[in-house]
Amino acid sequence: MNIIVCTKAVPGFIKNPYVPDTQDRVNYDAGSIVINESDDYALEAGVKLAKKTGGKATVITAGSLSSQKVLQTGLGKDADRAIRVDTDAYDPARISKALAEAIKGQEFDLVVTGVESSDSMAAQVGVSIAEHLGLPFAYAVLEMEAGEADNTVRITKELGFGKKQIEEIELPAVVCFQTGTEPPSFVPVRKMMMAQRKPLKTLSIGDLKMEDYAASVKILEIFTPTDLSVAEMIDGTPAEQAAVVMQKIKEVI
Amino acid sequence: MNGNILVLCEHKNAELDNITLELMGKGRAMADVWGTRLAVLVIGSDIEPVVDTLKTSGVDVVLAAQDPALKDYSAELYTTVTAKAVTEFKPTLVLMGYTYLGMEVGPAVAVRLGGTMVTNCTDLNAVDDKLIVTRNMFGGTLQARMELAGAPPYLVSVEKGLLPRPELPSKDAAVESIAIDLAGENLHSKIVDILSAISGKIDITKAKVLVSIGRGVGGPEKIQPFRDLAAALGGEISCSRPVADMGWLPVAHQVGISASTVTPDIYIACGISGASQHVTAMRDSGTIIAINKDPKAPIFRVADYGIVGDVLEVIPAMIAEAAKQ
Repeated sequence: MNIIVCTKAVPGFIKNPYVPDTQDRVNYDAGSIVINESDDYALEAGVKLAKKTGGKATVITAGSLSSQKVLQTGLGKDADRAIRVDTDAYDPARISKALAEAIKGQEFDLVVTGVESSDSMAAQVGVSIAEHLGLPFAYAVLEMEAGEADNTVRITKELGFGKKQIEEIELPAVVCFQTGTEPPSFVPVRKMMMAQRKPLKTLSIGDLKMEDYAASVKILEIFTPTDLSVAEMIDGTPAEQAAVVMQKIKEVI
Repeated sequence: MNGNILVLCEHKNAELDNITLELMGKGRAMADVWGTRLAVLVIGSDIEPVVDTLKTSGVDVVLAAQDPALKDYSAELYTTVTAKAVTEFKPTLVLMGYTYLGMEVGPAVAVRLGGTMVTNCTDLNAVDDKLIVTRNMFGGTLQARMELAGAPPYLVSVEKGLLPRPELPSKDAAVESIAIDLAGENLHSKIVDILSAISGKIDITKAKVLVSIGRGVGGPEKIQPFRDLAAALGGEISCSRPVADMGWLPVAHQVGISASTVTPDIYIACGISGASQHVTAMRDSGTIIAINKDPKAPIFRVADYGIVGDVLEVIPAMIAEAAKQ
């Protein structure tokens, strides 16, 4: 099974966020660049299934040069190929269109993504890619394996509140991974250094002949939700804080 | 901007989910300002009781998509049905929950119909001629106000538990059925099995007090004091998703939209940052106490009392205090 894994480079933490004049993104100073958490689960599961079924795994991301670190992580985790779609697009609608166009040009049986990125928190790129490609999809997936019927994948997905569903989906398909069952492995430094020497393919939006896909929103302002906090903050030493909070608890129970 | 509004209904055992009531309240207010119609789309196999309830619940139209094939949730069929309803009713705005249903069906319908989807919103309003939403970003540590700029229909998913649920004046709603021929659908996915609900000896949904731990407690070997505090308060220990994912506690202890919703009298969130999937499932608790190192942690947004500090120092002090009392 040839599998394409979509990954996103996200900031470990951010400082000084602001909305530029273009109003189509939030800029910031990134503390570090890491692979998005649920994408890491998708990568782990995608590479594993590709190897098990004698196929190739390709890791792909859409972003600027700094995002290629996640591709190296992918290669370090034994993905066979890596592709970066060179774009500064931020909007999930544009990102999903760009990724779908790039994937169209590849040979694949299955596309796997994470459920949601920690920065945009839009949770819509995976399903949107599926729809752009006209493929069946499953969201919030915890496990996957080759299906019993030929040319299918069997997945276990969450339906919420403890309910899960097992489905067999015809390939090609898109599967969006939730964090969960199998924790991602750690890439040893030596392997990571070897991965950095492997070739990365770069596609520009021009190569993809993507029509100008407009941004879906105009960002007006950003603010920290703690400004809206109504919590009564308890100050002091831990012992003083404990005394106050235990008193509050006593008033309730 | 104006136009009809459609709410995507979520229901279980013939009862409406709170998110649907929240969206109906918002949809009604906006449709009244715009002078347009509010509809609710109900999808399922035995939906008569829900349709009956909705007929007098303040909406103008109930769109009923009923078919035996819709008994169990199928992303594929629900997407097809929702797209059909949107095509027929022609809403400018489609409201849904930022729930598993909304996360799957929403983006698919938006792409299929060439509309614009904005997810994970905490509020939305029509301001002058524009549709303005507020949404979560960066783990909920930041929120953004955005104007929808793409092409209609606009699909907006809203986090559960944030909008009020006003009592709407009863209306005699028209019921229209969405004609679907699912027998002719070439299905690409097959449901093999449905595994329901978490089983285990512990039922955190019945606890009066929950001491709930997050990744911030540091490791499985550090959990005992939290168990001790729960025991001292006659409660149980619960946790956030990462704690269950990492195997520090069984999933039966997990609070969140993928596991259990809880409403104890007291909820003590220890080292839990407050991801929306967690907060949605505990925000209706009586008194919420949050302890976290990060003063910007979103959990403080829903807490009644907050302590900025190290849980590994505060919790032992609370146990000592409990022993004193």
